[in-house]
Amino acid sequence: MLRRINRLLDKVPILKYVLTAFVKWLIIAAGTFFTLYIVLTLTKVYGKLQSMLDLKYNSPFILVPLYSSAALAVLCFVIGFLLYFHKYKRSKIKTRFNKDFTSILENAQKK
Amino acid sequence: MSNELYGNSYKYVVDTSYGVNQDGFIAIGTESIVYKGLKTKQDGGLQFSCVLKFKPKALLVDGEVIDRLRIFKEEEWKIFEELRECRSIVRIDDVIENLGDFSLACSRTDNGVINCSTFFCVVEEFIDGWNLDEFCREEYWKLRRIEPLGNGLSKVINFNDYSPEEQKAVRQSYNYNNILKYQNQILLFMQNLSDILQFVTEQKNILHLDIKPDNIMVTRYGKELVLIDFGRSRKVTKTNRFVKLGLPPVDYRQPESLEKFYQHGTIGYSAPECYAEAADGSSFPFNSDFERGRMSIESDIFSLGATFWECLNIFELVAMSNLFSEDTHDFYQEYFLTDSVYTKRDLSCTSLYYHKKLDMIIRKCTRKRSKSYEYTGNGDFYHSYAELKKDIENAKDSVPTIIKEENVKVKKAFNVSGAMLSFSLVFLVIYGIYQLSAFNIAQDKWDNITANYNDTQFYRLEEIASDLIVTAPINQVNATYDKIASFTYTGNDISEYEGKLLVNLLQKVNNSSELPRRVDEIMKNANTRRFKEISTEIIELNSVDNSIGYDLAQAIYDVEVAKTNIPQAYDTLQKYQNNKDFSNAIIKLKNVLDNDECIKTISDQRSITRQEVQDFFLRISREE
Repeated sequence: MLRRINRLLDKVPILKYVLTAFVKWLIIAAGTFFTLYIVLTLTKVYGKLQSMLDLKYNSPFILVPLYSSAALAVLCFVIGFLLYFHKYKRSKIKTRFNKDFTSILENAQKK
Repeated sequence: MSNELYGNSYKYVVDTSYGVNQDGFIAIGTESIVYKGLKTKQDGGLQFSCVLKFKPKALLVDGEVIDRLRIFKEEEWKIFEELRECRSIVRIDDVIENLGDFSLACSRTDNGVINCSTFFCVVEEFIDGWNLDEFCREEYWKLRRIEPLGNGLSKVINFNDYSPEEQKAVRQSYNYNNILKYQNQILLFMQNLSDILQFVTEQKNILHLDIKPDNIMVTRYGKELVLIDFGRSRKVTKTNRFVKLGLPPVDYRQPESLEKFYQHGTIGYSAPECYAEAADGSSFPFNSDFERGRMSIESDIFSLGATFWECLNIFELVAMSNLFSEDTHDFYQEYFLTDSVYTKRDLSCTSLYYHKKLDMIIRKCTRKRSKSYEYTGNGDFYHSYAELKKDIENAKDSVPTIIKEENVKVKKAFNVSGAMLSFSLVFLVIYGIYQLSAFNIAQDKWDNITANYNDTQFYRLEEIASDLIVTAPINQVNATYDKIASFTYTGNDISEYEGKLLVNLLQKVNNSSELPRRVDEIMKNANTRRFKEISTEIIELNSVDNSIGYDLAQAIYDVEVAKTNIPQAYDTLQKYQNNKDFSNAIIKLKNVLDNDECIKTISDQRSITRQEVQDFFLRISREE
């Protein structure tokens, strides 16, 4: 199973980038929040903090990061795709060299 | 007459299996004719490839005979020996001053033969690969090919002599992906050459002064660069980084010849300061104000820029110019000896897929000379290979990758997307945990606030009450409402704010069977001076059947706020006049109807006299 997943990730690198970053940051974020919760609970700060900040399911402290991180995830994914399909093109500049070299090539072609 | 050359410990023969015409010929330069050779130990054994460079022993320059062999031994050979430790610089294996009875027929020499009377031989290691021009033109873009004619002879076919189908196929290969691959390869070459020249110039204090595609070899396996031909090289010192040009003035109206060089190096690649002064009334090709004839590291950097400019424009140059295809020297001599195209070259005529940072590097390398161009503080020019390498590195990081997934920006965007997805999942889990325990949290808050409640905490109470109803499990919603309602009914009558709170909760509970009873309760417990406001809130519930409280609230609202349905309000008063539970609301309704305007409307609509209406109101007052 693991080998099959690895093969799929090797085939679709974009999926690999998203998933590896997802797993890495999930572990970091979940670990950080869990540790913070344990520490705050043991030090009895959590209760005070909860009532002070009015922490609840629809508190802005939860909803704002939830919605903004979801929006950013979608935005970055879209940007990633745009960059993926974007073909780089230098902007065209008319220089003195361009003018003279073009006429050289035109003359050379006539000959 | 022999076809063998004898060196210190090896004997050499020309490798006649090599070359377009299988004569071993590789190239002809300004001062040498180059053949592919084979070397064998003098006592026999294995054969190894080598390069045999036949150089004239003497040269006639500007009417003066120059002992080329002496110059080679005193200058060039010493330079090679000094650079021997670097694997990216071609090595000299042997120098054969006396060719003995060796003789080789060569149509490219004046007397048609190479022998001991006019030539000496330098044996160099053989680099299996292409020079940079061949690599770009033949190997990469297929703009030239060798066609065998039979009898060991071959013919060089240039792009312009291809069939239309072949030309179309080559043009189709000049596409985004191939250009990106080529750009990456060129950037690697630029980096590699800068490394080599950094070693040559900054560590060994040697200027090459003839950097051009023909003097840069690309190995077949590994695509590593090897720098060859140090025939124009000069030593500099740490204190004096300049070399004075030793060429006599030339007439620029006459074509360049082996006796009269325009410049030190090669036309098209040498920096403007490497050009000889103009003679016989001709004019110097470059009119910018700089000190002529002072060559330095900037001169090699110019040649590097011109070399890679050619590599990046090779497709357009070959496809659009027959002259360039056949003889680059003549092309540059005819068209390029003017400031406007020789200096400040850019990539404006080639593919737009080449990155702008690469364009900037070429521009900076080949920038038009100014008075202070050699001043190391002048940021318009490169003064060291470290600066150049930094810009190349930067360009390498910026160019789009061939495999789009490997693009740094794409990678970063998807990585950030993954990270943000994990954050949103973590917050979703936290949200879920809070949602599951929301009722318990709200109950705790309710208990805390109601334990020491005062009116100033009403808004907090309202919020917690709303949370309680919203988060209560379905089977506890009614009990929760009743708990909240009973708390508001304790003590004083309910205010308009409490009325509004209860109405809002009723809307959330949405229990139609309990609704009439609960509305009645609100009207029964309403503050007598706040009937207008509480009635206004109650009618927000829209028609509640079988509720006296709702009917009375509707009637009070109609008369006092909406000023409509006055006769209907009078009917409601008549209907509930004897209900003792709602006496306060009935008195309120009577009071709002007891005015001249309402009495007149009632008497008109109900066909009774004003006196009868007034008597009815009086009776209610008395009963109160």
